[in-house]
Amino acid sequence: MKRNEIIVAVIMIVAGLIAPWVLPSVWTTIVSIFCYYAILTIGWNIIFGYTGLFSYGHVAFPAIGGYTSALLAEHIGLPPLLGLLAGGLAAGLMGVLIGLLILRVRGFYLCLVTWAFAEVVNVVIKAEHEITGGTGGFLAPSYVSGPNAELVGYFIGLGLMTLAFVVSAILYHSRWGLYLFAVRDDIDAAESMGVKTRFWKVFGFTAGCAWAGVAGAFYAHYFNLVDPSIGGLDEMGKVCLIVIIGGLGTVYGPILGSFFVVIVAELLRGWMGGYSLLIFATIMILAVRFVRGGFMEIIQVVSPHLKNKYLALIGK
Amino acid sequence: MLLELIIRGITIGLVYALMGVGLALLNGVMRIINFAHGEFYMIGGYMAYYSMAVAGLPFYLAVPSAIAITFILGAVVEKLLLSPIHTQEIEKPMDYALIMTFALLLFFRQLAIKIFGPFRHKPPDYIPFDVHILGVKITGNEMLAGIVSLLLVLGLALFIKKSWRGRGWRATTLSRKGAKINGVDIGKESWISCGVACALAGAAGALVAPIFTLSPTIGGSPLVKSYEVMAIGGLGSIAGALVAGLMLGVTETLGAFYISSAYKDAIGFLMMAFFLLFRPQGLFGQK
Amino acid sequence: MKKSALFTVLFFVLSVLFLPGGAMAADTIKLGLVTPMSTGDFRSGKINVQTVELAVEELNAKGGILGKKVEVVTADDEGKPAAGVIAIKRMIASEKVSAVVGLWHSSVAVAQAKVAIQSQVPIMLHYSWTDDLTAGHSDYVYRVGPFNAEIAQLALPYMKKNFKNIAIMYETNAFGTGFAKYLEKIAKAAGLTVYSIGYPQEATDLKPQLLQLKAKSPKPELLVIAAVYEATNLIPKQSYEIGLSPEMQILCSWDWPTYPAFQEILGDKGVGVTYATFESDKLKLSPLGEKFKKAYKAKYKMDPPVFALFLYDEVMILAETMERIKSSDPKDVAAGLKDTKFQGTTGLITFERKEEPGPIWNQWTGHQLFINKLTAVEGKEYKREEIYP
Repeated sequence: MKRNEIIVAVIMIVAGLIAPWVLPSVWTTIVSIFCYYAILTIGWNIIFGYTGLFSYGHVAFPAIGGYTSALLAEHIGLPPLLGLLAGGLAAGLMGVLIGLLILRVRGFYLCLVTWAFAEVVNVVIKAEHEITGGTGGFLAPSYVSGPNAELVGYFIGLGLMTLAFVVSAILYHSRWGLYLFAVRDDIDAAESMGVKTRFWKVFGFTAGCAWAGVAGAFYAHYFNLVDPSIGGLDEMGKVCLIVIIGGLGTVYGPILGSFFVVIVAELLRGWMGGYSLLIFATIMILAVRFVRGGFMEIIQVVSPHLKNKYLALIGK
Repeated sequence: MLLELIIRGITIGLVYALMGVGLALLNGVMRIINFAHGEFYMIGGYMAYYSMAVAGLPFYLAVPSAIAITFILGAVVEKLLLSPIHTQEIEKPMDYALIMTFALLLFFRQLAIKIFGPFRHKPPDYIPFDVHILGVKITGNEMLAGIVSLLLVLGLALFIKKSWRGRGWRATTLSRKGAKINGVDIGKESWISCGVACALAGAAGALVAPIFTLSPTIGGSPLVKSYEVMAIGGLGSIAGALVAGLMLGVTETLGAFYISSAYKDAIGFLMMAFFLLFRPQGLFGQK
Repeated sequence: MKKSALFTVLFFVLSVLFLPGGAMAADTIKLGLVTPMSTGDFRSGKINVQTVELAVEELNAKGGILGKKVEVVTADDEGKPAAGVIAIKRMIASEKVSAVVGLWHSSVAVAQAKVAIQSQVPIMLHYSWTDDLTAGHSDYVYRVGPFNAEIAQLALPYMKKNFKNIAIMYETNAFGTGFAKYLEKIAKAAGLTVYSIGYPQEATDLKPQLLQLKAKSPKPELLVIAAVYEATNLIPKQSYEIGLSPEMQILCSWDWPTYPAFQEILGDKGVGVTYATFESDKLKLSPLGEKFKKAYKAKYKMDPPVFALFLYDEVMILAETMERIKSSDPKDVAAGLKDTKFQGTTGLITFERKEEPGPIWNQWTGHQLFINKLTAVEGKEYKREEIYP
């Protein structure tokens, strides 16, 4: 980990610890959702940003993690904290299976295969409604009972997000990270240099999926409910948007992107009522069309000096 | 019952084929993932509805006008929003198209809720009597949708095979650079093919509007089906898409009946994943 | 290096701190309306918004509540639990509403009810049917609308009297599944043959499910559709198309056939369809109900569906309660609501509390069930006739 990454991690924790006491209570929920998306997209960033596998089925894994944890809590009384682990493991195992399967395909095909997988998961959840509660969702217990449940959930989310951030930063600077980048940038060259590309592909995919599973389990116990909407196509679009505007393949990308898509959007949304999605879509179209570099280009317009700083910050 | 299931499967399969063909064409020429494809289906349906219920046109004019409108809309979307893919060198055209078409999906859907209202609509029946095929009763609307879909798919196949423009598209599918060198104007062909693809989706929407009725959110399922058709038939293959559509329609109907109706939508996805993983060239493609 | 990182994080923290504050002028009374408006069942959400706006206009025309103007604050819950929880929290924390109405999807409402209970703000449910919602016996959850077990009990005698084999098609959400399971249980106990088939609520091609019913033996004589909206029009239509109806009668839940869309989609095939409802020509709506129905039709060009009546009742009950207890503080309102005696649109509304476990807690149980049949089509509307009780 680089020094500025440590600083950011520490500041995130400090700001997160102060926030519930200075902000209106609704913001603990919003920041928790921010944490959910940050963990989820850190996972996707490892898969696509680091390893170069365009998975369009990423949102299936929070669904797997969430349902696993909630079902275990219901049937064998597993405590939610262990449920986070169980959710991560279940999603990770599924990640290994799918990861092995998609070794056969690349690019466009990979995107479609993973999408198909996500939809099948969605169909199964809806079809087995006797077990999963169908579209109505499945209830999951809180981390602790009592009036502080929400705050505890918030701190758990904050902790998990920081952990995910630290792990992805360490991975980014490690030898393992280099293997993943090698697979992404030139798979043939990597192979000829003796990198076990098949292993690292599956590794990158599994690591990302496991984090997604943890995110899903966190969501389930935070909202006390897991429902199929977290595995929908529109959620996947959100994941792509977050990572791409934040900076694909960078350590800070998912955090910055989630910040914009969750927190800034919330600030701007205010009381637009039923129009918020329409406005959001319009902004998205205009931004993607005319400010192609996304966030970076806006900074460029404001000040070229800042852009260099930003580039240095995200490590490009 | 088996006969009834097969006939129903074929009718719906022809509509799937029509959707899939448009997508296969677009993917061949532009090489992008288009998530807004289903929204043109929705818009086509509404255009047919408004031409009939408001402007009072008969169906044989309403459906073509829906096709014309979706063609124009598709071409405009390409010109305004998707053209950077080939005019300027974008680092990651697939990401760009993915985010852009996803934004378009949201945009069209939300706009449709505001403009068309949230309630379901249905144009008057195109053919208001039932038809009996081999003793199976199907509605005139279903028969019309099946026949017109088949004609449109065959017409497109013929166009691509015989006309100069169609050859240009095929060349672009094979090699973008090669086509460019040989005088294909990629920019122009892109917007025309995008318009045609959207018009085909619009045609499908207009044809099945009296069968499945209209609501702003109907674009989701046809989008999924057209990807399944495209993947099974092979990217850029028209004949493949036709057979794949029929195959998907029949398998789904049979599977839903004999295995489980709750898993109906999984059948198509499993077929798609199977083909992509083990036979990526599609039904008729060669390695 | 260090500076730039600090700068980013500072920006991060500052922008969170500069939030629109919660301080609001106290000369209005605020009612929260949280309902799906962009995704989920936004159709019904739209009717909810229209109903509450109409009710509040009426209140303000009469001088508001306690001499203060009434203001509706609307938020979109997108039919998703996460968005719904944020929406209701924003209502309570920043808008300081006196009560929240309009909650819709049962799954979202379950999550939202928790927030309301914790922040001690009353919520009123007008058409979320899951038994669980009131089964928690909270002092902050009130329900004017019906609940699954109640409805199934009310509908059973009709089915028993006229049919031997029934089929239920239900949406696989908290409402649909809950209702279907309960009805199946009591119908089987009453000696009926029951086939039940679930389907995801967004499905539009329901022919596979209907074909399965067609192949059943003995043939189902009645199909009960437990759906909120989408499929109520599609199932009857597709059932006719595959030749299953009119031999098999269709019982729609609930008064969706009174919507203009139903007529547009089914046309004269709609004749013969039956539907269950809570109002009827025999049970005259109260003068309040008639007035509301007329005002609604004049403003929005359609008859209000039955849940609009319940929602309208809720707004009026809240107004009456605040007038009675002379306070608009959420806690007082919640406590005051339990003594409600309000002549609503369909009957005298009181909230019942039964100590034993079950959904009857702050629950109105005065619903009467009627079954109507569409008998003929006249222009753009159906003629209907009451066939039960």
